[in-house]
Parts: sequence; structure tokens; C-alpha cells
Amino acid sequence: MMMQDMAMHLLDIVQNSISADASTVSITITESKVNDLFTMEISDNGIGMDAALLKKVRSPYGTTRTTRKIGLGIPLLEGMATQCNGAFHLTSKVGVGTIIGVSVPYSHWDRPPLGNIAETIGALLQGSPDVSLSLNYSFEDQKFNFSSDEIKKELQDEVSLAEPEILSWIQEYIQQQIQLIQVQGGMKNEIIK
Amino acid sequence: MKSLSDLQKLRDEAKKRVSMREGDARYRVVVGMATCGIAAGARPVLNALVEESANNTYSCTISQTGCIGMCTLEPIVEISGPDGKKITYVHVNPAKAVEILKSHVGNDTVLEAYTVDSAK
Repeated sequence: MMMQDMAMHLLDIVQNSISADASTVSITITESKVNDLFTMEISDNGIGMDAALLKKVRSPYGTTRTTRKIGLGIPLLEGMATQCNGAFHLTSKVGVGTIIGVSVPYSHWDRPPLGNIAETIGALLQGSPDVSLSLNYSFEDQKFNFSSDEIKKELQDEVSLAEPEILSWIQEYIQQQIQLIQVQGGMKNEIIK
Repeated sequence: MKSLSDLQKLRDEAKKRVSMREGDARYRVVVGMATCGIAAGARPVLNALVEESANNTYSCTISQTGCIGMCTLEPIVEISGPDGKKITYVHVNPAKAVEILKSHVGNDTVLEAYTVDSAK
């Protein structure tokens, strides 16, 4: 089993944050051809893990799931990073939260593509509209920030952001912004060359 | 380009439709969204369901759940009806998801060909 792209890994890993009762999740993704680096980090304020669990979740046989004794989300992410000559990091503190991330060479043959980040954010908000979710995406030196709290402010608590119409709008908005950043960042890259 | 200020207009339109849709939602549509579901393509399935219900008025709520326990049959969509009966659809893709929503929720007709019983 493999995740198709980074956005699928992201969806899976943030589901862990939500299962760990996080009320705030921040996602940082950076892409740079110039520095030959892709990074993705998820930081949450969930219940956190102690040293024993921290060790366990990196094995396929470690999971908090009660239906079965196998969990693959974190091993899949770490496996991807290793396969790409990249690095994986995971730190956690009980009562504080968890930070998990990867950094891999942008040009590595096996690096999965970014994938549809907008659809991943949409799926997360659909399932957990109350979580305060932020995305910081950058391509070269161009940045885009998304925050579900800002959307909620615009909606003035009158409709949930999980309503289909709102979710579709959010996804299109994120998609547009990411594409814009990629074009702008990419153009700068060409000029430097 | 979309900007955040679009949301004010969208908010008022959405409010009207929400009361129509959820006044007495007859069906509950659930998508399995654990590692197994995600890897098999559950996210585009969820997305198709959300898009389809953004464009039409279906009497249902859409939600997500963890691992249903039949990982090889993912993506899985479960629909519970007003009679309390639960139908499990397996190997769903975005196109099938829309068909299922139209038939099962829109027309009260179970799509037997896609159910877990037909897959066995």
C-alpha cells in the first residue's frame, strides 16, 4: 500500500491530530527547486504521546486504533521520506502536542508529487469543522496563508464551513491561490536563472 | 479570482439551502476515511459527494468515519436510511458515488450492483 501523493499523506497524518483531540492544527509546506527541497510539517495541540508510544507509532504494529493492532499512517510517511533520501522527524509532549514532518530533495526521482492540497483541506474541514486549521504554503519565496478561523469570521457563525457550498468554494479558493503562488514563484526562479 | 469577501454573499445563499436540506435529513451518508480508505481513494469520493450535494438538494448529511474493517473493499460508503437499515457500498469511485447518491438518496432506490453483498 502506498499513498499517491503528499496531499494524501497529509490527510492521513492530520486525521491523527484530530483523533488526538487537537483544537489547532497548523500545516507548513515549502517547495523550492532553487534549494532542491520539499518540506511538510504538521504541528498540533493534541494530547501528545509519551516516549513509549512515540517509539511504537513508528512501527507498523503501533496504533491507537482499537479495531485492529496495525496502524500504517506514520510508517508510510517515514518510509516515503527514507526512500527519497530525505529526513523524517517526530516530536511530541504529553499535554502539549505533536510535531511531525518530512524534508526531501525536491528533485528526487521517488518524491511523490504535491497532489491536491485543496481537496485534502476540504476533506479535513468537512470531517472536523470546529478544528482551527491553518495552511502555510510557499513555492520559492512566494507565500500563501489559509486559516479556517478567517473563513469562520466571514461566515459569522451563521453557517458551518462544512456546508457543501462553502466547502466547494474553499477548495476552489485554495486551489487558485496555490496555483498563483506556483506560477509567481516559478517565474522568479526563471528570472534568477 | 476568488476573494474572502465572496463569502458574505455565499453565506446568505447557503443559509437558505441548509434549512431545506437538513430540516429533516432522511439519510446519513458516511465515508470511511482511515489510512486504508485514503490510500484507496476515499478523498475524491468524499469530494464528489460534497460537490454533488452542493449543486443539488439531497435530504442527507455527509460525514466521515475511521476504518470500517474491510480495507480491501475500500473506498467504502455507508448509507443509513429512515428505516434504520444500513447499506454498505464498496469499491466506490467518484462516478459511482454520484450515481449512488442520486439513486439511493435522491430516488430511494438501493443500487444493488455496488453493495458489499454483490462484491462477495
